[in-house]
Amino acid sequence: MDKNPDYSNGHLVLGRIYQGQAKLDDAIFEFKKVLELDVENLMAHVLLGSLFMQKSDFKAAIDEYQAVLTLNPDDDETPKLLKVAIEKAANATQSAPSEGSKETPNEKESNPGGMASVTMAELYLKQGHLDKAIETYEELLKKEPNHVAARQKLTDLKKKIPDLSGSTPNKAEAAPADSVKPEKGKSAHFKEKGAKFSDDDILQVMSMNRSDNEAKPAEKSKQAETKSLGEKTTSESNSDPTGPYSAAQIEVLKVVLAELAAITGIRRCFLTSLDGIGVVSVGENSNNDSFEKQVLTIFNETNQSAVKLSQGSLKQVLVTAETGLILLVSFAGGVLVVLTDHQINLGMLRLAMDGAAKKIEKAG
Amino acid sequence: MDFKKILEEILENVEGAIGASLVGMDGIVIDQVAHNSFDINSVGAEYSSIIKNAMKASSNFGLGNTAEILITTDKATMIMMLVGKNYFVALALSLDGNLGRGRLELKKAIPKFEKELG
Repeated sequence: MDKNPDYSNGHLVLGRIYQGQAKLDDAIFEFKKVLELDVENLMAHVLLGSLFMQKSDFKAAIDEYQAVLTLNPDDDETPKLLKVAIEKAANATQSAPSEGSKETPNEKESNPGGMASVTMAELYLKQGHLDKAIETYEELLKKEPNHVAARQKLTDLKKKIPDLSGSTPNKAEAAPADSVKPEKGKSAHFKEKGAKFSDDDILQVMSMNRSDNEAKPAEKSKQAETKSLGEKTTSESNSDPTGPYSAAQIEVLKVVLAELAAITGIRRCFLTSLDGIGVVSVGENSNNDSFEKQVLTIFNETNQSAVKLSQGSLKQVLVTAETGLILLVSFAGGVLVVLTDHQINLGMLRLAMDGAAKKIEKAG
Repeated sequence: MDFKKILEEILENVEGAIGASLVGMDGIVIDQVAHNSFDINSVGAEYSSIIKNAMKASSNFGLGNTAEILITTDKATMIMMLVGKNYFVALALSLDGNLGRGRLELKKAIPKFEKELG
């Protein structure tokens, strides 16, 4: 190694030897050296991930596993490891305040954010805890009002999911006390549940929606309110279900898409039926119909080409451009379109899409 | 012009690769290699119009120039990457092929094609 310090495989072997001897820090040093020489070395990323997990440095482990999935989105094992790392990181951040129980009440007051950080908020987002992510950003901003990135993220998050955030700085001022009493409608249910939806939640929402449709025509005004907040559902303008989707399915789709849109890097997502009828749209520029038409043209043409070439039906098209990605997926009898930033982690996006597809399937 | 050699290298290095081709934006295939009877020739030509549409959409919506398009069907995955402004390289993979490796090999091959194309 002294003669060939740039021999990456040598560092890899040395790292594995150190790992075998439980010299974790030495092993980490060697694997980092490998990545300095070859940033695309999958083995080094995987081994570093495992070492960071052993050291309970879950954030670093997440970074390594994400790097693996960026380099090899088809990796079957890493999504499982990533999921474990994210869960452990979230558990660690949640249990952290009790570990710091030696804090006096005054100390807590002077540090209301506790461990609030952008990383923590991101972890909540990745898990779908939208309310907790918003709270974390708000806590962080109380501590550091000049934290530009956190303020921007909070603003983006609220823009994306205005009706689900349930936590706004002016909430108390904006609503009289008697107007915020719990309402047993779906949006109140979301707020109570903290916008983290299990499959049971979705089924519950579906049954609530059915009874709402039967008994509460006034619900339409609430839907109109949602629309004015930037979320558009074509089928909502008519109480009769249109296209292949029932009203209950549309409600589930809205929830699933809102969760998807909350993932960092996703700028917009919408579902359109194969004949071009917009079903649900969440995120920036939600009223831009020409985008929907153009991407649908791409999907339909590609589908026709695939059939013509005897390649079966089209499942997915991913367009990677300089500053963003367009992902079109055959989804729930329509086309799901996701517009993202360029830096999005494709592995994470795929995981989120799989989760969303399962929820829709269950609701179908 | 050693396009075939570069395409063969890609095919050899990617597990599950079934064909690769260098195609002009007008849909005319410049060179191609394929395993078995996979008709990579038609695939490249057929998808060239899709690339043009994707480029238009990316540009219209402020995403900049298109660099790559990935198409997954019931039977195969197709990766297409732009080579300069007038060409693209396409790689067809079986569904169990190594997509990550495929993308990596295409990225590595692009400068070689660009050099050959002058």
